[in-house]
Amino acid sequence: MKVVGAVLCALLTLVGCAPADQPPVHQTFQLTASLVTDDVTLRWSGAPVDAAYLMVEYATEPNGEYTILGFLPPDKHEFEHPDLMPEATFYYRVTPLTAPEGRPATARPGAKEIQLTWTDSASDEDGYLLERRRTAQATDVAAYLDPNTTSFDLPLLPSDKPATYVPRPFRRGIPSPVTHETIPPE
Amino acid sequence: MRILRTLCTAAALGLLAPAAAYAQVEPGGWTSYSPTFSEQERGCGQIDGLNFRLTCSTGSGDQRAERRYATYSSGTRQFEGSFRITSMTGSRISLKQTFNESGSGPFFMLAVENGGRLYRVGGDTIAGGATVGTTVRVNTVHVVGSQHRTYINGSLKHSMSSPGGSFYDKFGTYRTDSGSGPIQATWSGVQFWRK
Repeated sequence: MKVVGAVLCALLTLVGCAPADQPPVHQTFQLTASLVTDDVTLRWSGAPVDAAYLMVEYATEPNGEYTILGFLPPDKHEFEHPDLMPEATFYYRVTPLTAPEGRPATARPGAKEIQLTWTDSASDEDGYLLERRRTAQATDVAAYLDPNTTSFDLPLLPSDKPATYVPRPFRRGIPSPVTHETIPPE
Repeated sequence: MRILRTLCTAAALGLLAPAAAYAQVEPGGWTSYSPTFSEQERGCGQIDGLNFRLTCSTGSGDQRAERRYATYSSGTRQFEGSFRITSMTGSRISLKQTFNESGSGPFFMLAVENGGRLYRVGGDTIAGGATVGTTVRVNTVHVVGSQHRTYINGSLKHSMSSPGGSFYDKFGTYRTDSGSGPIQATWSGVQFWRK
């Protein structure tokens, strides 16, 4: 019966019926997963060249809630998800995020945090990526914030080096196809 | 076309297949269950649904906003939940506990310090700084009398042996001995399994 359903869906897709509950999938963006023991390595190709970051996510159900594993620069093509829970199936997707260059936030040091403010210059963003830029270190995403955010108190560690914080409004692009691996029993 | 779309959606959702053939939600023979819980608001702790807050920076006393689940004393139990820290200028706040009711108290405490480092209270780092604002999924698997394992975002990050006895799960926000608020964390997707 399940096979019949899949065949029916495939036929209906051919006549122009896209699954209503699924986001569109980027046709040239390919994602593969390989499993060694309980480690999954993801590899991808064809990511949009205009992406500012590639957001790697996983879920444990086919249509489950996705959890962000990381924000990678667009020149990365691989991600390892190690030491996974046995007998669970992990579903993965990679979503390109486009984000125009932003201007540094106004920063005011607090007792144990840095208080950042900025102007919301975008009107259609899915959120803000707060970029941390440091001398002689790779830029990374310090915070993932809601749309229309204009301030944020970023907690700091004593060891944190001086940095410039740049809020970048982002939009989610079309994700890669979903791939999955099932972890064997212990 | 509306009929075609409906059929397609149904097929995609697996509704055209027998329910028993649909994917098993819990792997490895787990059975879902729903333990009862009570809420604990002490000091400056506040609970609103699954939003847990410590509103003060007080570095002493009992400051907590937590859910305390029913006691278990046998078998294997799994907790799953995701938290998102929406603001935190405090530090060293416990987010999830496995409490040893028949022992000396907290058996396992997962806490966060400023910068997002997750650590076991009295132990080492469990996971590096999670990006502030992202959701972090926590699974604890507790084989009573044998082992307690902690998975962060699906990856095994901590294992420790476990005595027998009576235990319960707690989550929310709780000031550790060396910690202080404020913090606001939202939990979601809380589930329990046993086998």
